[in-house]
Amino acid sequence: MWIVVSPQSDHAARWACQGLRARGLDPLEWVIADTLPLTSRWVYRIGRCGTTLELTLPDGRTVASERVKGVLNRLTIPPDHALLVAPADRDYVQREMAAFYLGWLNAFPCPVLNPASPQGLGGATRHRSVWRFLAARAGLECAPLLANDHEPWPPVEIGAQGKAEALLFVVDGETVPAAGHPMPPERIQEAAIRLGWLGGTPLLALHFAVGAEGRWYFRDAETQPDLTFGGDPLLDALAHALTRSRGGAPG
Amino acid sequence: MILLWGIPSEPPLAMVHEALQRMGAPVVLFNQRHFANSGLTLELRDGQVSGTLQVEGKRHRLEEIRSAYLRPMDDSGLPEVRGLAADHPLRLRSRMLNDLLLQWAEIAPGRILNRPEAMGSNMSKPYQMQLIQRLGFAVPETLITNDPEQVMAFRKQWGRVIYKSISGVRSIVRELEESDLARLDRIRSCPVQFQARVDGFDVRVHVVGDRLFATRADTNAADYRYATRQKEGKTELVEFRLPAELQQRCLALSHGLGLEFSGIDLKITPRGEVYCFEVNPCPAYSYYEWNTGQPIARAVAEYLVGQQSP
Repeated sequence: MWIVVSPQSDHAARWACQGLRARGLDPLEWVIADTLPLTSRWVYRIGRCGTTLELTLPDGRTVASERVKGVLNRLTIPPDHALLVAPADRDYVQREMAAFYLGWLNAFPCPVLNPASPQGLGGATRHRSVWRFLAARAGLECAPLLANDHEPWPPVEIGAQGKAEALLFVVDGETVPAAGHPMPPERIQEAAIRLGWLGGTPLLALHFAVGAEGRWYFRDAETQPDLTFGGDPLLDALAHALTRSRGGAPG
Repeated sequence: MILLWGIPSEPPLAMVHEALQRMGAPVVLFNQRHFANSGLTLELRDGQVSGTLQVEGKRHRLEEIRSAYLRPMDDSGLPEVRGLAADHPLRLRSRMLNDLLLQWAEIAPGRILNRPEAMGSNMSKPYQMQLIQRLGFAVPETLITNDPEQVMAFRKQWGRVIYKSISGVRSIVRELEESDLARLDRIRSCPVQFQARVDGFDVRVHVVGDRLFATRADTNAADYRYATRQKEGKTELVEFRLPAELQQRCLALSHGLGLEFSGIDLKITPRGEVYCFEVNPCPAYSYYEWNTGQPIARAVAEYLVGQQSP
C-alpha cells in the first residue's frame, strides 16, 4: 500500500494520486488530513520491537505502517483538533497533536517524501537565508542577500533583477525541470541533488534566476511545491522514488 | 567575542556569564528584553555570513562573534510586549529581531550552543525517541493511543505504567493508577502517551562538547524534578561515574542530534540496562550544579572560548 497524506483542498495531491495509481502504485490510499481528528483509533508503539503505527480512519479504512511501501506527505500544518475539546484545552491539544504528527510521519520504515521535521510537517521549512547558505555549501551560485531587523521579508536581493525564472524539482536524487522550463547544466543538477541531501528533504522545488550569460543563481527552495508544474516526468520520478526500496515494486 | 543571548538574571545564562567574566573572556551580553534599543543586519554573500549586531548602543561585527550561548525565551512572553496586539510595532520588532538572530545562529560559523534546527527534536517526544533509538539507546516501551482498551492491555502486559505529554510542553510524569481508569475514556479525543515504568535510578548527563557530567538522582517520586511537590517526596542528587562505553554512547547521541550542549535523561535498572528517556537541547543545568558542585557552567564557558575540541 502507498499513501498520500494531504488536506482535501490540495489539488496537487489529488493529481499525484491519480498519476501514481496510473503508474502502478496500487493500492494507493489518499488520507485526507481534514478527517484525521475523527480517526477512531490510533495505536502508535515505540520499543524494543521497533516502531509501528496503526490507524483506523473514520470511513473504516486502516493504515498499518508495516504494510505501507511509500508515503507522499503533503501535510504542512497539523489538522485542527481544537473543535473536539474544551476551549481551555485547545492550545494544549494542538501542541500535542503537532508533536504526535511529527512522530507519526517519521514512523514509516519506507520512503517518505518528505519526512516531517521539527521545522515543518511537510519537510524542513527554512528561511531563504538558510536555504541560500545550504545552497552555497552544495555548490550553487547565489545572489547576495541583505536582511535587517526592521524591514519585513523578503530581504534585499542584490543584482537579481532582469533574469529569467526557472523551476527545477529534485526527487530523491533525480532532477526534473518544470514543464516548459530549461534543464540546467549537469553541475547545477548535481549541486541541486546535494542540496536535497543537505536539507534532509528528498523532494524539493528549487527556484533559479537564469542570467543572459547562462549562469544559474539559486533563489529559494520549497518543500511543498505545486507538483502539477512537473507534469508526467515528475510523476515518473515520484513513482520511482516511492518504489525504490523495501520491495516496493508497483503492481 | 562570545555572544550570550537571553534573560541575564536567568541562572543558566548568569552562571555562564560569571564564568566567562572570571576567565576574562570578551562577552556581548544581549538582554532579550532590550530588543527595542538593539539592531541586527545580516549579509550572506558566497556562503559567507557577515553583518552587525547593535547591543546597548554598541555595534559589533558578526564576523567577530566566534561562539554563542543562546537561551532566549518565547518572545511573545516578554514583559515589554505581553498583552500587546499581534500587529503592534513593538511586538513585530521583537519578533523580527528574534527571527533574524535565530537565522544567524543557524548559519554562523563557530560554536553555537545550540543551533535552532538541532534544538527542535524535543518538541515531539515520540519523534525524538525514534532518533534516540537509531542512535543506539534503548527507550521505554511506549504506547500512544486514543483507545482505552489498548491502554488496559498495555497495563496488563507491563504492570506499572506512567503517562506524560507527547509534546515538549513540560508535564509532570504520573503513574497510571487504578483510580485513573474510570476516566480513561477521555483519551478518545486526543491520544495520550503511556510508558512502561522502568525501575532503577535516574541519571542526567550533561554533554558539553566532548566533556560529560553525570548526576545520579535517587528519588521516591515518579518524576524526580517534582518530588518535593509530593507528600514526603524527596530527591538526592550526587555525581555519578559513567562507564566508558556509556560515555561514548552519550557523546554519539548528543552529536548525532547536532547538539554541542545537551542534557540526556537516562534510567539505569538494577540489572544494569540503560534506557534513554529524552535529550534536552537547552538544559537548565544550574539545578544539578547547585546540588553537586559539578562545574558545568565553567565547562560551557571553556567550550565557548575554544578551550576544548569541537
